[in-house]
Order: sequence, then structure tokens, then C-alpha cells
Amino acid sequence: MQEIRAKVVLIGSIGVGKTSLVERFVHQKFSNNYLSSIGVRVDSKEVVLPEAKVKLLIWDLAGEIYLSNQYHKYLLGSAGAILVYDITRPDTYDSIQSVTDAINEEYSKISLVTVANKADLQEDPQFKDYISEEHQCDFMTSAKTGENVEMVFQKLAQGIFENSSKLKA
Amino acid sequence: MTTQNDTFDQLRSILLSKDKEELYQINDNLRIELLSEIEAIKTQLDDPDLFSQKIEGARSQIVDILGPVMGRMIRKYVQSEIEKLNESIQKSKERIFAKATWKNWFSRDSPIGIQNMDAPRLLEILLINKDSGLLVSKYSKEKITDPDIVAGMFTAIKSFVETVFEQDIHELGLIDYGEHKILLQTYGSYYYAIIFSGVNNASFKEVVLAEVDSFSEIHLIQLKDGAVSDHDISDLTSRMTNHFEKVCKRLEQRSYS
Repeated sequence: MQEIRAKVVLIGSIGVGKTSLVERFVHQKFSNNYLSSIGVRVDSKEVVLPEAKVKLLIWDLAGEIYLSNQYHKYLLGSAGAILVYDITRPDTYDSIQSVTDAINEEYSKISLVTVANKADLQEDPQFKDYISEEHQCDFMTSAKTGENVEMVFQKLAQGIFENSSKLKA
Repeated sequence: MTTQNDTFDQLRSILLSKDKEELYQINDNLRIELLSEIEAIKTQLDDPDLFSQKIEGARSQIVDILGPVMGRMIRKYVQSEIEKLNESIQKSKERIFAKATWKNWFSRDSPIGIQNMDAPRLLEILLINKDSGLLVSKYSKEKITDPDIVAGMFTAIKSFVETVFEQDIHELGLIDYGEHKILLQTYGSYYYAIIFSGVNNASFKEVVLAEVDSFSEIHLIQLKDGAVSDHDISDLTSRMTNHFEKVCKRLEQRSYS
């Protein structure tokens, strides 16, 4: 079975739940202190697809890096990115479409997944529909309950595998 | 014609002739007295028993005179020697507890091992992609926790420092952490993280970097186009292991402490 290793960057505003998503997905090896000291914490998790094993090296970036628009340089060499926002805070998703466009334009080979997190805090189905229709949203997740968390990384790994196959071809 | 100076000389000679004679007499008397005193001391010194008696008799006076001076000198000397000793103990203690785990301590078979505890030891070399932070190849003497994550974190730290100091030309070259040092050396799209323990010794560094250079010149050429296959990576890893195994042995034979 083919083995792929890929850098994946997790970006989004402060307090949207990026670190909680990683904690839910991986067995965390390093302390969160790295986030406050150097703004990045790296973790890894292997996703097994029918065609390949994809080892994701997940770079969890501090929200400040996103807000100060410095996340671009961290996307260098990335095969994938997860853009996270908080479903309960419009300020975290108001500009999500323009950010998605910018990433797609600058890094066309990156597999990008957008995530509306904290879905457990929003019970109104109409509001969820509104989010899905009006804003970029591949998944609604809850790091608290684990809802869709695995799916996010599965989709990302699949996208990375497909891009890698295209490159090889 | 006599000058004014000659007149003064004649006057001085008339007025002081008597004083002069008296002065010569005093000098003679003094010289005789001094010579007899010296003779007496010489006799006492030549006779150890007599000298001991004199010293014994004047003991309290000698102690009174020399005591304060000698005391201060001795106190200063002792204090300075104690400080030196403390410093040396402290240094040895730090060296011993920082460098050697008890396991290492007992595994050393001679005191020479203790002397060389400060000597730098090459532990690990990681070849990392500069942008992605992905580990390309490695040489490792001991198994470390997930080298992929370690490579990622080094890249994150490097990137962080270079962003903070807004350095386009300079790059982070050394991470110093306790007994471990990590040298970072860039080659095009890749960089090496060279991990060693012991003192940061310039000649050791020079030798290691020269070896890394020579390895890169021969073997990194296959990575230059950026498209690296799994086969390339595994091939490179075995070449790297071969190369640096030999380097490590050579380094261990030389002392850099």
C-alpha cells in the first residue's frame, strides 16, 4: 500500500476550536504551551484510505497568526489545509469566503476543507441551513461530541491522495 | 676676577667647617655602633640556640606585631582558595548531573570517560524540507519520539524566529537546550538539523559541517528537482547512515573537550 506523508495546516480565528479538533482527532503528544510560545504545535495522525496510508503532519496555528494575516507563509509546502470557524460567532466566518478564495488562488494544489465548529451549541436547523448555503462549509463539527471530526480528516486525506496521484501522473 | 659663586663657596666653607667635622664624627660613631650590632646579630644567628631563646623571649611581641598582618593574609588566602574550590565543585557537579544519567555513569569503564564527559557527541542528523517541514532522511544513533513531528517542530521554531526578526538573509543557526545543541544548516530547499550533546565546540562543529557539506555535494543532487520518490528517500537514508556512522566513529576517536 502506498504511503504518503503530508503537511496540513489548521487555520482560523482565536477560540474557534482548532486545538480541540486536533485533540479530538489525534492522541496529542506535545504540550499546548507551544501554541502560546511559538504560535504552532505540530502533531501527527495516520489516515488509512482504501488506496493509501496518509500520515498527516498537522500544524495547529495560533489564532493570532490568522488574524494578522501571517498564515500564508505557513501554507508553503502544505498539501492540505483546514479552515475552521465558530458557528456561534459571525465575526469568525464573515470573511471566510474571501479567505477560501485567496488560498485557492495562491495555493491551487492544496486540498482545502472548511469547517463550522461548535455545532453542538447551535440547535436551530434553519440556522445550520443558512450557514451551509451562505458560507463555505464542508462539515459542521463538534470537537466536544466528536461529530464529523473523523470525516474532516478523512476527506482531507482523500483530497491529498488524489492531488498526489495527479502529480505523479 | 672672582665670581659671585666663588664668594659664596668660600663663605660656606668658613661658616660650616666646624659642623662638617662634627657630622663626620657622628657618622663614624654610628658606623661603629651599627657594625657592632650587626656582628652581635650575626653571632646570634650563627648560634641557633641563642636565636631560639631570643625568639622565645619575644614571642608575645612578635605575635602582637605580625598577628594582625598574617591573620588578614591567611584569611584572604583561605577565603580565595575556598571560593576556587567551591567553583570547581559546582562545575563538576553540574557537569556530572547534566551530562550523565546514572546509567551512563556506570556504563563508563574508566575515569577517562569522566574526563571526556563534556566532549561533544553527535547524536542525530535530520534532513528536512525547508517549507513543508517533512523529514526527508535521517541518521540516528538512538530512537527518538516520532521524528516526523520533531522535524515539523524544528521547522516551526525556525520559521517563528525568522519571522519575529524579519530576517530574509540570516537564518536560525543554533538551538541550545541544556545538554543538547541543534545546529541548523540550510542547503537549497532543505536543511539539516544536527543534534549533538556536550559543549558547543568550534572545531567539532567545523568537522561535522564539513562532513555534511561533502555528503550534500554528492547525495543531495538527486533531490534538487524537488520530486522525491519513496525509493529516493530510502536510498538516501541508507547512504546517510553509512556516511555518518563512519563520521561518528572518527569523531569519537578524536577528543574535542
